[in-house]
Amino acid sequence: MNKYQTPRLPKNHNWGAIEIAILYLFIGGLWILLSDRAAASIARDQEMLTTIGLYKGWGYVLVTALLLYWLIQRNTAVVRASKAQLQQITDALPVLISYVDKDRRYQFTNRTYEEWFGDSTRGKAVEEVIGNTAYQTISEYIEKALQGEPVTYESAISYSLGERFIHATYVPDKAADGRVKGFFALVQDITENKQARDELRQWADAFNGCAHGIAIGDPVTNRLVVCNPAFAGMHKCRVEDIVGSAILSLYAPIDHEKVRRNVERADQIGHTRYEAHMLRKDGSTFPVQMDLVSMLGDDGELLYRVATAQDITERQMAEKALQDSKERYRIVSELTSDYAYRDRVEVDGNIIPEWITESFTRITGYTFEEAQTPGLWQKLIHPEDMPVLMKHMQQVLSGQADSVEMRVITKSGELRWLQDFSNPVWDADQERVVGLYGAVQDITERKQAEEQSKSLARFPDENPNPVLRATYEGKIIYANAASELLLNDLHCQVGDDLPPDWLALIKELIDAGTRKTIDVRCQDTIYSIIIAPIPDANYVNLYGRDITERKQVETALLESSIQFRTLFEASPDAIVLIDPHGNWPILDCNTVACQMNGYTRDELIGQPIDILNPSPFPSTELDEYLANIRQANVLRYETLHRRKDGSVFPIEVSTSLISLAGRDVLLGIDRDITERRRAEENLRRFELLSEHSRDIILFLRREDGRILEANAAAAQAYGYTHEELLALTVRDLRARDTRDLTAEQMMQADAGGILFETIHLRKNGTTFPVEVSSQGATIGGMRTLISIVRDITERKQVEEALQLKDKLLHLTSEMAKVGGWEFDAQTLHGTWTDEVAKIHDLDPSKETSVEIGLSFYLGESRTKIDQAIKEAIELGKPYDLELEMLSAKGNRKWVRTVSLPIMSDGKVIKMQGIFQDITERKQVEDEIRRLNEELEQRVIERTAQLEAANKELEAFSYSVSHDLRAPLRAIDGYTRILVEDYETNLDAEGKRICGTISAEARRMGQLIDDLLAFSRLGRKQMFTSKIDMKSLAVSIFNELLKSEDPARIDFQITKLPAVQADPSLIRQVWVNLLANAIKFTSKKERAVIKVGSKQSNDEYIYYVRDTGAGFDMEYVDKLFGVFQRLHGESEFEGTGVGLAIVQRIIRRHGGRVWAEGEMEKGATFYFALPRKENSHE
Amino acid sequence: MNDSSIVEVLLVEDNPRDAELTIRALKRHNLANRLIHVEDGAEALDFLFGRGKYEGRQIDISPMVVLLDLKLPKVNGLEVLRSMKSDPRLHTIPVVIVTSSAEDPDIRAAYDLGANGYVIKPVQFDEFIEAMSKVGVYWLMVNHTLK
Repeated sequence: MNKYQTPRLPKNHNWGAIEIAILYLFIGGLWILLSDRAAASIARDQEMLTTIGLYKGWGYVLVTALLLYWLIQRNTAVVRASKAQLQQITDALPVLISYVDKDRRYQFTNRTYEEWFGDSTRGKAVEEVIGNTAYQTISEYIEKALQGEPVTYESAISYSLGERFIHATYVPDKAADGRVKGFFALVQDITENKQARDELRQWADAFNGCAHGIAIGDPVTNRLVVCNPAFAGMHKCRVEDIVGSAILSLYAPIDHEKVRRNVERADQIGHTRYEAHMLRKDGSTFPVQMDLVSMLGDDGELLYRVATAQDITERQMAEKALQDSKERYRIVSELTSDYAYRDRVEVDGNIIPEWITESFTRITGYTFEEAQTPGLWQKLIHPEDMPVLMKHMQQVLSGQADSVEMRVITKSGELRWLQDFSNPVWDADQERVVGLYGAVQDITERKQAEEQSKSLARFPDENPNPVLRATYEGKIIYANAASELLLNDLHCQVGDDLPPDWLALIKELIDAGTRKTIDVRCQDTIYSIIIAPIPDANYVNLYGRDITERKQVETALLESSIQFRTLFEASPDAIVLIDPHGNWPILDCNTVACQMNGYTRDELIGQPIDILNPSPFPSTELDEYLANIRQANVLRYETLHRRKDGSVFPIEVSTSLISLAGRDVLLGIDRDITERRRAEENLRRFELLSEHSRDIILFLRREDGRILEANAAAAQAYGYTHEELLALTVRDLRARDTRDLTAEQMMQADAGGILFETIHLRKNGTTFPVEVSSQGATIGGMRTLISIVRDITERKQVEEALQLKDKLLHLTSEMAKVGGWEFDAQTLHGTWTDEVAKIHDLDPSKETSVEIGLSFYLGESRTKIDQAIKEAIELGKPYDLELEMLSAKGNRKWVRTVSLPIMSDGKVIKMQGIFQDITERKQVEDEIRRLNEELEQRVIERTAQLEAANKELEAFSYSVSHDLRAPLRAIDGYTRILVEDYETNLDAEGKRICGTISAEARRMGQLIDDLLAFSRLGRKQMFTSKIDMKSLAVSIFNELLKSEDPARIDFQITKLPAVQADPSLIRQVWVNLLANAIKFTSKKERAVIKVGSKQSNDEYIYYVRDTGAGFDMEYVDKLFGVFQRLHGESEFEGTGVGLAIVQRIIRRHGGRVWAEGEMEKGATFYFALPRKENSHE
Repeated sequence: MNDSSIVEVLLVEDNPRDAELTIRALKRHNLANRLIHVEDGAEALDFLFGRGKYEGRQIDISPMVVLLDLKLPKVNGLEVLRSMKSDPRLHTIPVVIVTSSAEDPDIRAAYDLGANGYVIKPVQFDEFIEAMSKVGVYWLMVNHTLK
């Protein structure tokens, strides 16, 4: 339903042509009819008629002409207006609007044409205006339009002013007969638009052409808004199929959580990268690397999430393959070599290990982490092999695989041989070595064996000792020259087998892998032969050594005289015989030596002497050692030996070279000096002790008291030197009068020890008190007294001071009648001072206990003290009580007992306290209390009296005022009645007299009121509270002003400080002062009344200032008097009490009032209130 | 008094000047026509109870208001008040204390005893006239009593 009414057009009636014509005809017709008639009636003759007719005709024509003119003018105006409107519209648009006729000329162009092509394009040919090139481009369209077809096209056109991209629409203008008169053209410049669209297309192309998948998701719905073909391709479907899917549905379920987390992260920080598995429609999954960006709008709102996906299936597979190969390599290297490694070569040349197999740690003792530290390799690699290793590394780094043998020192200090095979790793372009990998074998054993065999077999032929090699079967496959003798003896040659007993031994040793030393005698030569199997080989090496001489010596020794043997064995000291050649083997040792060192004889014989040394004797010093022995004949020194069990002990060695069976043999006699050492140490300790002791230590000869030894403290204390002291006896150290006791004391010291105090004498004659502790002892066979002397000067002083204090305390307690007591918490027995006993009227010398003490209390006091003691003992609670007691003599006393329980380990062990007779004090207290009560009573009575007096006074003044007022009322009243009732009989004078009588009566009433108020002031009770002075003054002034003309008075009031005072009284003050100000300014036409305050430290000062009548300062003292006035009744009314009241009130507050004035100028009245919290009367 | 049986106002006032002024004030409003003035408390009670001088008066014809001063010779105002208010025949008669005493205890005592009003005699003449007029107008013209 159309709810709008058809709009009614305004009543602007458009004059259509027909209407005008009809109107014209009508008017014309009317004119003719009427004018003719009029002419006829006017005309007197024919001539006149004609003239009239003529003028009529002209008039008519004139009117018609005017009408025509007006009509045409209006029309053209309308047309012009509409044309102008059209022009405006067309000019306003930023497009080219034109009308082209069939001659291809611009009939109409809008202003934009002028902007583009310069002015006056109208009438010109199109080709001329836009240029030839442009015209060529669009000519076909123009032709089409002129055919009558509407045309729309877009094209790039090069105008003279530049290249433009336009959108043009041609609308043919057909005449009624269908002929085309021309066409309207509308051309829009869409260059920018086109650029934008082109850009967009580029982006679209990029988007679609990107090899990576791009997907854009809506953060609200979490669905895919759009994706490029690559993304769809990853999912093996079309873009249309996948758009609109939920984002999460594109991922494998296991990664959903991961995806969610990353999306959140992207939203928070803007972007994120993660790997996940995506899920295709067919159920297959593939790994992707996603870069997710969250796009925010200008307002910070999340617009879109854009994700770029990269299918990393291949990459993952490559990574996995690499991982696998690494693994394989590691396993392989683990099996084949002792350890394998992979190093990375940094850009700066540093080689960093990336991984090393476990066995590295097993072999070298260093962990992988340690291997990565730069300093490790210095430690690990044997210094001599460093250069070799460096050369090897250079080789590898230059790209050649290489191997090297080097020694390393393991973490535990062991030396090992390693063989390192290294290979370089090139980068992708084969330009630089970026890493190396290698395998390392532990070749220590092999090397050792090589070394050994090298050293042993280096010059086997030249070796003066026999060296042979035999197979497992005992066949001699090698023998050097020196072996001749041996072989002869064995009746063997190279190639033969060794004797059978040898074979068995060889087999045994090869099987066991151990070596054995045997002695073989060949004629006069004795060989010690080491049979050593070669590891991992089925033959043995035999090394022989001529030990003939040694053996001879051994034999000689064995055959040596029994005496020597006996001596050897019987000696209480350890004796060791050493062969001072080679490794200095022990030839023999006696039982003591064996015991002392913890070995059996077999274990020692043949072993190098170093077995007993905790650390090996430096071989370089051996010669010197021997030389020393030779020189000294017997070299004696102290050294340390190590037992079999590893314990180390000190020995004193005496060695000398002896000749035994023609050979030099080292004879060593060792003595275990452990005990001696210990004794020496102890002595050393004691020496130190005595040196550092602050007490005097003296060693005295018992016989005569001669000082055998004194410590440093002694010398310092007595003032003698050490030597001087040793020349004195102990008597010399004593003060004269104590010397006689010396002998007795020494005897006691010797007997069992003694502790005594005495006085000692210094070298300079001064004395000092000492405490001596003396003890007898036998030292070195001699009876000695060891005395420790302590200077007790300070202690004595303290004791004296203490004694003094004690006396003082005793005296004080006596004076204060205070005593002390203490008793044991367990036994409840104790002591008290004499004073306490005295208080109890007991004999001070008698013993006391808690029970005795308590027995003096009765009743409530007893209960209290019982309870307190119980709590004190059980809980450790101290008490302080005032109790009443009955002394032994029956005296009632008041006492104060204070106790302090003494705790130990949480239990109360002792109670200590003081006890005071406070009877006097109590009495005094009672007296004071009594007096106080009396006083209070008196005060109450007095107050009551005062109140009563006050009341009386009040009642009196009240009744007085009332009784005085009643007659006044009568006087005033009756006089008025007189005037009222006898008005006619009274003349003016009479009335005046009556008026006076009334007025005076009223005045007296006023006086009475004022007097009453004044007197009441003195008695009224004051209540103070905080008063807002300013608002009070203002309100009072306004009240007073009610009866005045407010314009007359200029009232000024500043901030007034608040004050603590009686509000009603202060109100009275303001009323009086302000009323006065108003009253005394009443004669002035204009007046100023100012209320303000002044500053002061201890007062609040207020003032009321007026510009009124003022007063003579000569009479200022009278101002505040009662009934005192400085102006007559005829000038100003008033009783003269107002200011007296003000003064009284202010004085009651502890303040003061004063005034300043000047005749006819004005007056200022001040009042000050004290600046305290409380006002006082 | 025109008709001693109908008394509208009983004025109990010992001060003749005050009494005269009071009557004058009431006269202004034509309220003094039926007014009896006694000068002490005893006479007041005699009148109210119809005894002594006023033996035989019809006591149930009660005044419309009693204006009672406190300070009276013989029997004082409070006594009169007490007697009136404790008697069932008289206790409904409105009693207005008219006195110069502004003492709290007096006021309290008066109300405690059942006074219907308490007026303090103004010290100024015109205020006095004014107050009495008002009292009279109220109690005689505005207030409603039991018949």
